[in-house]
Amino acid sequence: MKRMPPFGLLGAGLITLAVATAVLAPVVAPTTPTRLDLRARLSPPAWVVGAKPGHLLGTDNVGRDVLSRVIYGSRISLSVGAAAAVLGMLIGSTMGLLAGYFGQWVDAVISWLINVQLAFPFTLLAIFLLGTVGGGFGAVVVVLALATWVNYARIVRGEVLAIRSRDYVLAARAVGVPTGRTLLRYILPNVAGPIVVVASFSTAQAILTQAALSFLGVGIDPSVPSWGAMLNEGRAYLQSAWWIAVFPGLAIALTVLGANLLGDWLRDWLDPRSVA
Amino acid sequence: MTLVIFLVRRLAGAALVLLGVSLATFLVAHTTGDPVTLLVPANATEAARAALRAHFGLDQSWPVQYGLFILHALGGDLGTSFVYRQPVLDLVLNRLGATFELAFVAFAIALVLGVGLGMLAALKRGTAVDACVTAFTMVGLAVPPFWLGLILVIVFAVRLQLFPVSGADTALSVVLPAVTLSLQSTARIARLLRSAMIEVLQADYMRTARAMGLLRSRVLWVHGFRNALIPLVTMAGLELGDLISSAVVIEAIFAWPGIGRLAIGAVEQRDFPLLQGSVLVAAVCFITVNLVVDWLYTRIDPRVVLR
Amino acid sequence: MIEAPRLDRRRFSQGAAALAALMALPRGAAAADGKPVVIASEEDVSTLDPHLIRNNHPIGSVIWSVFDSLVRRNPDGTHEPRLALSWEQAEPTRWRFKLRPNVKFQNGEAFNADAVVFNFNRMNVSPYNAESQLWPGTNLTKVVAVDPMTVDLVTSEPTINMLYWLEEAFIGAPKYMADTAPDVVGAHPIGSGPYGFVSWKQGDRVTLTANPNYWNGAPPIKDVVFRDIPELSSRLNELKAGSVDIVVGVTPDTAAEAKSNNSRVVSTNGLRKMHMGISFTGLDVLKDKRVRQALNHAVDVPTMIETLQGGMTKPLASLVNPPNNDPGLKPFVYDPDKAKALLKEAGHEGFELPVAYGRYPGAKEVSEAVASYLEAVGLKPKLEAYETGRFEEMLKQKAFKGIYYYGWASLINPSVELVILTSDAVDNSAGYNNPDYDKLVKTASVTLDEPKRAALLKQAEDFIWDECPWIYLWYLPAIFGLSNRLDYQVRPDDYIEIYRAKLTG
Repeated sequence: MKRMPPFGLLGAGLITLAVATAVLAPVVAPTTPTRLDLRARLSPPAWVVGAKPGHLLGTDNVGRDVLSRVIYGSRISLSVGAAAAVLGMLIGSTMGLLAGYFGQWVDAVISWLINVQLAFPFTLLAIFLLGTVGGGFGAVVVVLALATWVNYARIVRGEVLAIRSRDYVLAARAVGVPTGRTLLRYILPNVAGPIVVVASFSTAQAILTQAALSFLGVGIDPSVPSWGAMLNEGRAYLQSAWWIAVFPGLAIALTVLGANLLGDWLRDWLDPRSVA
Repeated sequence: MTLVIFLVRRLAGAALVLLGVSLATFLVAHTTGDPVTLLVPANATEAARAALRAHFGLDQSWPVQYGLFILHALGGDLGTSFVYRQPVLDLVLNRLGATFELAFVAFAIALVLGVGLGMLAALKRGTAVDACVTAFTMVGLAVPPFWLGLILVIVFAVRLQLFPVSGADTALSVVLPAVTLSLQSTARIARLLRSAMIEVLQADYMRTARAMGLLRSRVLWVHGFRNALIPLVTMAGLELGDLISSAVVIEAIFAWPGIGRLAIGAVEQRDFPLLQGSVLVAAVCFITVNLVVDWLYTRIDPRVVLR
Repeated sequence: MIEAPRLDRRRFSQGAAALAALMALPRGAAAADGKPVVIASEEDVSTLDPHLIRNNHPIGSVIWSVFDSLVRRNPDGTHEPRLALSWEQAEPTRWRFKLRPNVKFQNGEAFNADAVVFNFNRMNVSPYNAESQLWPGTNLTKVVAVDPMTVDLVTSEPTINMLYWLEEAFIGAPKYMADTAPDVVGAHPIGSGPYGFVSWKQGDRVTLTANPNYWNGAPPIKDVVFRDIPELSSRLNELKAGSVDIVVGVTPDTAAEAKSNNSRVVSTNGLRKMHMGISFTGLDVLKDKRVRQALNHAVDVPTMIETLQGGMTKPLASLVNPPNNDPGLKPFVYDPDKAKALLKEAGHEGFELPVAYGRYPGAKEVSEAVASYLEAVGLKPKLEAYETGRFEEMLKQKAFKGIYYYGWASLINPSVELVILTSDAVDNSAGYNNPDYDKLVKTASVTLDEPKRAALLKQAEDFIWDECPWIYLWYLPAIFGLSNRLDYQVRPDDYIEIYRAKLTG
């Protein structure tokens, strides 16, 4: 096994930090993220003149503690990102496996679906679905999975196409191993690597997209603090109370950076030929 | 002849994709409720509402509505917007120019910067320059574009007053939105080109070429870059499509009068024909770009055959 | 026609030199004195058809500039003659209007009784009748041209709100409208108003220029541009930079940012009554008056006004806007103990209460604050966000289960204001249903005797205030950013009457 390069290490560190924050939120957050205090609203971070005590990163437009909200916000971002990546993975990998293995009309239909999805301006679809059906955790995860399944499907399909005519697969089919078993036993393990890599990038993508949707005002339940929603609230205060939007923005950037770095490292590790 | 067969095949494929896109839009739109509720004041009479529904053709069954839409669309008529009461095609085409301008400027920035940085990093592989480029690309991919846009406005438009805050009034108006929009693409293209170039530089034929004493820069451009172009072109096609789609959010921040804002408005006001029209036109753009990309392959790499 | 798109603007073809030269130019490079007055709004002007006005601003503001109506309301609630010279209620169900002679539309057509008949009839057919409320609002049944300069409006029953609805019944060039495709009429308006239409770049701007032949003389400001700039911060920045003259939709929190060397803040108590509507079709506990009163005592409205509203407005003290309200009514006092006591007395403590809000400015923060106050008296508020379309639908279907943030905007007219809580009012979104109240309001609306009607209305006003169909909040402050070169008196109802503005110096 190769030694982990500094970038990979940084990625692992960032993700560990984010996950730890999410899990330990009640312990590390200075206060309840939903407690508001109108009289203490728009208080700047502790190091800025005029700051009210007790709020390291300041307060938002209804006087909630920004630090606590950023900390609790990690829960939504990470869980939505991970859930969407997993769901996208399930759908996408299955589609990719089927298309690659069976070819013919199955491949044609799935490829058509992929092309339709790619040609569709996703943001609009998401706003429409979430706006009208209503937000909520499940809905957001499904919509984000709809955005990411194509990533898996395309990679897996390509890989399966390449290995389905290998000797061991042909042998398995020749001796009458059932199709499902062939797929799971002989093909899936060989495409697991690329799937994991795509999963890490898709998590990053899902976190960004979720934030963008919250920014546009659709998505997660408003009573739960989320980074995207904080950005949306802070956007009206960029000139007067920059801290409301800047800190959640940083949190998003660092988490996504972590996921991407981790993905890069995973890819290098799983595929020694790759140089990126 | 191959070109004709290629075109026919691909156009048929494109038509199928467009059919899928329009059907999906239609279904999603029509499952979300009655657009007339949003259009009229709360105290409008039920009779007036019903008349309006009939006026828009919403009183017919879904299959009939969809069939009529397709039939009219084939004749170049995308219907009339519920909100604007103008032909959808006119509305969309009026806005398409602005979106194209934004997307193409962003694309140009991404291409020039991305290719430049990627080449640089590949040539200086393992040095501080390489590390800087990598760091830049990683940060570029991680920063939410809408957030970056807001920060750019504060710094360059409000504090330094170098660029207009919003709108499309002067030639400089496009700079901030285009830079914002291009960041992720720049980062992705730079990463791709870096790895593609490194791979190419290690390839046998490059070593041979260099061993034969060919000039370094000539080797690099003629042999190296040409081979790195194939993945780049694929990616560029996807990026351009992505730019058109991502412009939605950026247009809102910068008050850019493009198709993205039109479509968001259509979504918010349940303007079905307008939504249908803008989605279709966006899809047509995406498909066209990809067709061009596929054709470009054959120009770059003679081994690729059109099928 | 709609202005051509910007496809033909070859901006970057000139190369870097031109770019550098452009960078040196000051913004808004036009000469300072001839510079058009620019009005920046959040929303897009979506149609210019005078009978499809969907909002007061920006559509309404443009239409008001290009078109004229028979009468227009003054700030004190009386009406000034515009295209009408005088009027009388000849019979209880017949209003007679004498028209202003020698008025021409901007395409040369003459204004006369036939023009009024054509326009009013157009408002009564689909698709315009879904938007225009003149006919149902006034019980209008017939429009008759008595002679070229006299029009009779016949109603099915006596109506007291005729002038109120006529203000927004705009009159366009009849022959042009009849002979032209609807989409062209909606994109290229021809009226007889103080301004003429120049161009419309959709999603960007509408440009108007003063009408030299206006019956009341050309307005003081020659060129006017209505721009669409969705981001508030962008609008404010342009105001400070001097490229915009009126910014609409300034929030209390951003009011300070509208002040600069170039600009100032102007605000007025709006007419929109902000409240949390209390559903009568949802939770049973909300049908108990004590619970509704408890909710009103639980919420600290003065503190919310001082903080969230920047002290720029006043608490609601009646469902009737001043100056017609009963001065004896006072806002509910913030008293969480009393709220708890009332809840206990009613036997409904600690119930879960959905708190819904849509996309109105500030809706989220107000709902969050209200929810926290309700939590403080032991309830379990649950915030629910709705997309605009869903929210409107929920309102229409009276489908909210708990409370919802809403604003009711109506002009100064007690009967129009009180009628919305009668059981068969289509816009009674709370589903409030009380036969006594219905009877009171209905009787008032057909009582033509002024003092008698006023007494009935006061009775209804006092009754409904005590009933608490809403958690009473405040009047939405109307805050504008104005450039210092502009002299303009803002209106409380969103409309911008730019023809009344002047340039200073």
